[in-house]
Amino acid sequence: MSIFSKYLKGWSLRTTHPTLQPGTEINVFLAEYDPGEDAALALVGDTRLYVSGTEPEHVGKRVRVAVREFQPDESVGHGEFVEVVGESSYAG
Amino acid sequence: MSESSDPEVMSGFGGDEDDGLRIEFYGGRGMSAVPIAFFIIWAIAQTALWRISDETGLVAGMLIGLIVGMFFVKGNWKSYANTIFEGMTQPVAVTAIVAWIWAGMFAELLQDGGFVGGLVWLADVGGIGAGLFPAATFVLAALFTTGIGTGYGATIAFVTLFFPAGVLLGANPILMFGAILSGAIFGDNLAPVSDTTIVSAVTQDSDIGGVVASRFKYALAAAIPALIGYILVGGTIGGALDIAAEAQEIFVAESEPIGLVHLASMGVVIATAVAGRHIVEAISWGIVVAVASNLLLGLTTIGDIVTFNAPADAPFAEPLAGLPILEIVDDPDAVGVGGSILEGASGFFELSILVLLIIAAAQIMIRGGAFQAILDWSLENLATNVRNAELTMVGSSALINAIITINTAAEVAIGPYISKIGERFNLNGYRRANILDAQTAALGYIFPWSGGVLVGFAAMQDLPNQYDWFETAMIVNPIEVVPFVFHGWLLVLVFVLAAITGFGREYLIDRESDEVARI
Repeated sequence: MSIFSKYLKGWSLRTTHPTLQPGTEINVFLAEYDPGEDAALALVGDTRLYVSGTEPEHVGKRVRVAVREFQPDESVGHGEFVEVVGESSYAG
Repeated sequence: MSESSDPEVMSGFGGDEDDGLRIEFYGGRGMSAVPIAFFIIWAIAQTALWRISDETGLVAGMLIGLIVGMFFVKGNWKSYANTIFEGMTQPVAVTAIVAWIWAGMFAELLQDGGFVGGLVWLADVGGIGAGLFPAATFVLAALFTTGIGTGYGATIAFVTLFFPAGVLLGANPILMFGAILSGAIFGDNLAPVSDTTIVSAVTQDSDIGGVVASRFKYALAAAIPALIGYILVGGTIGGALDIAAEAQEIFVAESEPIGLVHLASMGVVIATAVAGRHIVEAISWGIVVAVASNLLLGLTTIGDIVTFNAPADAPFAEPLAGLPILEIVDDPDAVGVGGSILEGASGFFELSILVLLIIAAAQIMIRGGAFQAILDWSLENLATNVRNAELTMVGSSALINAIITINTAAEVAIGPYISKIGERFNLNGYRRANILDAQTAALGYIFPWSGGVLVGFAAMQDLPNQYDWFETAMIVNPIEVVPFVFHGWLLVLVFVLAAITGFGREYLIDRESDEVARI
């Protein structure tokens, strides 16, 4: 991204419920683990993404997720854990 | 606030919650806020209710607050006492004090070298009257601060130099002070070399260049209406009525453009700071150029810069009386060292003690858990969706900056929690850093106990000694300037609106910030 385009990025109103695209891979922080769903939950804004294949210790980490399905009406998606790609900037 | 280009300097305010001292208080974690709360009540009573603008009085308030807080400590008081030391030795506080003292010397040299007269001459020739002077001051202070990266240093320079020029020309003193603080906020928020910018980027794991580029829109959204505000209010609000028209005319008539040579001194500071040099080095180069200009152009003598006033009976006084820096005085009270360098620095000695004590009290609040309690509560009860989470981030960083005098210290303390809340909703590093730094910059220059306001107020104390026409009554009471720091209030408002509307919001899936790196 050029320096100029960096200045122009973000001059818009971004929704609280962003849409996820099935078939893509995204990086997200995992917010909590839901034993009922046997999956970790990532909140992208107020959009909920359940990530299967995760363990409770993945919570708080930045992980790569393959998005499998997304229901726009409810802003809920499901995906598969691929790998851990990073830590929180605050590990405490 | 002040500058420190070294991220290491910013590390560790408050420290890791797990590796430091713990203090338990009767009445729970909230009671660790007693020293700070006592001080704030004292400061409001002293400065707002009774209009006593005295830093020494504030020092007394903070000392008593620290003693009162001790009586609520469970068990041994040693940990409380040690925390006072821990707080007072925080690098951020010392960094700020160093920047103040250097900026104080620099500004005094420029003032003694006739820079104020040069500005008055320029404003007179350029037709910038009292109405437009605050707006022009805001723009120039914003540019200067963006260049050098230290809002405190800019506040000192502009209060020492632009403030008297504006007041003399008939601009309202409170509005002038507000415009200077607003300019300092703008630069503190946007400058890549500002330490608050660096801390915001580092704590949110984002590159500084990307952070600065992404916050440009918010800064502009606040600065444009702020500028309009200074133009409109400047045109309607009256100036200081106590300046005799005759004195004003004489000063304007006697003002000479030669003092504008110090634009070069300021330019040297900006250029060296932008080139990446440490602020102490940058201002030192400015001091060298200012001293050389003053001496070469005959604006001051070397004795004006440093002078030893020795008693006649001192053993080497008479033999060395020919030295330009030595003066023999008969009055015992006149014995001492004087000159621009000392006067510029000494104006900030009392404030330095005050700030060290406030930082100590803030550290007690952190070690005692009041700070953590506020954050835990806000995480559980307020950050329930992304909009509320962003509002919580705005509110909590604003609150902590309103409490802790040195805004970089506040920013270091709150940074991890902003990261925690933002990451939960996958807000990217730029957005988190921008929310954090805007409140840090703004709230550091608004309230009477804010570092920016205190340092400007301290710089004002010497003006009655400098100018015959400057009455003590023209010194702005810190509480009065609060509503006139337009850019600060607007910057907070911009982020409240941005949280509500989603303006500028970016998720991790939209863009990931680059690695943390210097500029």
